[in-house]
Amino acid sequence: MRKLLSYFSPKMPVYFVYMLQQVEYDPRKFLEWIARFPNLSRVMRRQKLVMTTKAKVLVIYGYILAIFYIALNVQASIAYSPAEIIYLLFLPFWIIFMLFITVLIGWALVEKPKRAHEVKIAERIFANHKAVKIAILGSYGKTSLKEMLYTVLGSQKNVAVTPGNKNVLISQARWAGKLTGDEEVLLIEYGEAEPGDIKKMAELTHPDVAVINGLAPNHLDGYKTLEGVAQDLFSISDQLKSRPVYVNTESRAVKPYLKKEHISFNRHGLDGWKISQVESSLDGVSFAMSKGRNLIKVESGLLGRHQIAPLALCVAVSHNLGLSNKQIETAISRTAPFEHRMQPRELGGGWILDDTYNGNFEGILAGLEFLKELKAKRKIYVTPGLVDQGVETKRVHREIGKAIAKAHPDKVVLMQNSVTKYINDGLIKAGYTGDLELRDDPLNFYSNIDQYVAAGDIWLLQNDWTDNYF
Amino acid sequence: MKTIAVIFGGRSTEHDVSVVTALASIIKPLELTRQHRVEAVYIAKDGVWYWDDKLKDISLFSSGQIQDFLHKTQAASVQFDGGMTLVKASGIAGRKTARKIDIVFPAMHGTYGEDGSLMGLLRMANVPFVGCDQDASVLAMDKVLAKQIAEANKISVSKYEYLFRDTFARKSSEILNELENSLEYPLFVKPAHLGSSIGITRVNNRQELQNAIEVACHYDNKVLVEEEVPHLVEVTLPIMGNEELKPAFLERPLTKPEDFFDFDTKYMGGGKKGGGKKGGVKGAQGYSELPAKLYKELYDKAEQTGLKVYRALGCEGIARIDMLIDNESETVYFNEVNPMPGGLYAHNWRAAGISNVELVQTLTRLAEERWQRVNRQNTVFSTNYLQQF
Repeated sequence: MRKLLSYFSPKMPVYFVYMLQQVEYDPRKFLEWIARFPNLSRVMRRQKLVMTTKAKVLVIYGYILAIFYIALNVQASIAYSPAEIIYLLFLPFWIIFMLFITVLIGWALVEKPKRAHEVKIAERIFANHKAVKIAILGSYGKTSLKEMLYTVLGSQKNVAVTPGNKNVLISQARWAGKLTGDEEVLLIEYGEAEPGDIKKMAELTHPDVAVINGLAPNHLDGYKTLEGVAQDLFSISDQLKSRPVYVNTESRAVKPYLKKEHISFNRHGLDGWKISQVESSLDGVSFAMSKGRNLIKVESGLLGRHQIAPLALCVAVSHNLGLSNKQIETAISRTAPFEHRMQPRELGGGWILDDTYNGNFEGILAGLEFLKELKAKRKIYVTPGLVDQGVETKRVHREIGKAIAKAHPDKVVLMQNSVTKYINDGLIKAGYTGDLELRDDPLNFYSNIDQYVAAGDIWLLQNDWTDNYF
Repeated sequence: MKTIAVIFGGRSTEHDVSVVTALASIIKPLELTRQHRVEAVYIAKDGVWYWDDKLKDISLFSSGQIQDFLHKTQAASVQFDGGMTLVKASGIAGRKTARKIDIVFPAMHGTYGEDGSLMGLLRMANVPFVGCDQDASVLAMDKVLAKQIAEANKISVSKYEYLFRDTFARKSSEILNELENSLEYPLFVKPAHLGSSIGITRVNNRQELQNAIEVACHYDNKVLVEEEVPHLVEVTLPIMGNEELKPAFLERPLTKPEDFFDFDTKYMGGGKKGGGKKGGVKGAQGYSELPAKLYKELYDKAEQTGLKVYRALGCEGIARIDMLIDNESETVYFNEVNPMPGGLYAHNWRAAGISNVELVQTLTRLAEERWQRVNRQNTVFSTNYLQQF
């Protein structure tokens, strides 16, 4: 009932515009969110509407639409029949429909041609740029890998990097406009969402080197199958032809698509480099890399054995670009966990491993592998599950449930949502016997986590759904 | 879902400490358990009771808006109806709102709360409540009685005397003579019933002793005068449990030998007099060494002393035992008991592996267990006495 009443809140137009802003004014995603019939009074709990010009115009437009609709219905009820007032119940539908149509028209007539023009200009900038352009793609770990490469290469070279997780075509195009032309290396993150995305980005950015950092069933709403994701990611090889394409073969899913011209990298080595003396703890990961007589000692603050492969890639790429062993070792020692990605935080003698930006299956498995090998008085695992798993949702979450059970946490905390039952199925099937707790208010839980932690605990927090997924 | 009333504030010099204990260490974790409805019951400094959800907000107190709020708010009353029910005017057409209370979590420090008064009321209401029962609270809150019980149980205490305000007013000189004859300087003068180190003074001569007793008499009608323990190591031990006891870590406040806790250093300064030392952890009472770095035998001895005191005084639920160690003779002296440690000493429990949420859950469970045990006891006896009339 409260949910239904929220659609008649005076702030209803603000809520709808907030939802539009959260999905970057994508009309399709907006409709998908609405179709889940969310409680509007709860959609703005994590963030607030940022009053950009576009947001302001849409909010005012929303209120004008509402006033117009109410006035029309009141007039009709006076002029014709009091029963006409019943049509006021359709007010939310009217606002949703009109906002949707408006955004759709705005997209077709203004945004799309504007973006096409920006991409055309950016393509010329990239084509003429002399820097070594490294494309970083894959189903997961792109941003972390990009930051690692930036830490190491950036210590000696003039490196430009796509900001944050801005990895779609238009963000790359806009970033091109900010380049000075003096850069020696460009690190460009490719984000895939639907077939053809990678090809378009490669045509825009003209990469010299590509790194595919894994394959997982992500964005299946766009690709439908894992095969679809793989085809799109590996289409980069067609663009690069004989230039190097590194593939992270820690991800078992990539193996069917691996060709002999690809350079495989994993925790055992790459391109003639061999890895040995691996140590992993809450302080980080360390190992030795050798190729012939050349020996590089790697010590990083990054957590988990799954970090070995990307670190090894950084070493190899940096070596190929002329950095000395000493320069590489010093730069690698500066790599530390990125925000919300296996980021450790000491809390009253316990440890929180914040992996809340980890939103992929392989990443979940890597985190659980690390949790399993750690020693603690008590281990607690927290997750809401994954989003955008399409038809694989059920299978993927059952697998996650089984993987959690194998890591033997003392307690599992699941954020209650549409995938909880599948994780629970997996836990039961794998014979999990620890405590299970369901939480329906993630924000409240995460913001008060200090109240739950005690000395000797290790809490692994993986993934955190944004408002539009609840 | 059971309803827990957290009672805090009160007519005590430790009123403000109680507010922080309730809001930071009890109400928040209790709400996070999602197993209880939590009602905030605030007793103002004038003794009037208030019951309102807005009282859960610390900013109401820290901003000083509490007085304005109380002026606009109707006082609450308590109804004893085979249990305990909170009642207040709802403000709508004279209607009243009532809430039956299943468990009470007292968060009171000092007089009219921690001293057994509130516990007596709750016993009469036959409602389960967290922490020590009435008898243990009365004993614990009287430093002299607590020492006498400890002595009777062969637990070492520092040499002490005590006096009453009225007697001192009549024959101060005589009493000072007696004190100087039986005790050696330096001495500590303490109000017998006050906690949070209020009114405590360390004295080195007769003039200081007289002044300190006058200060202590300002707060209390019973005053304890005791010898300082030489080569002092001060430790404190939070303990939880009814029959089966669980100690947390022995904690050592980082003070200089000539220094001691007073209210400002304990709760206001965030550290000890003299600036404290580096390397300690910041807890509810400034910086401390947690766990105390004592060699194992001495640590165990102090822990056993703490447990023995807890049992001797009949503590249940939770209490904190303060002890003084002569580091040269390795004698552990019982100092005093705190039946409602400030902030529940949650930082120490957390270090011992019990989170804030688990702490309040455990204390609530212990309260219910004791209440069930008490209610199994037969308290009525059938006679034909009345039929004679």
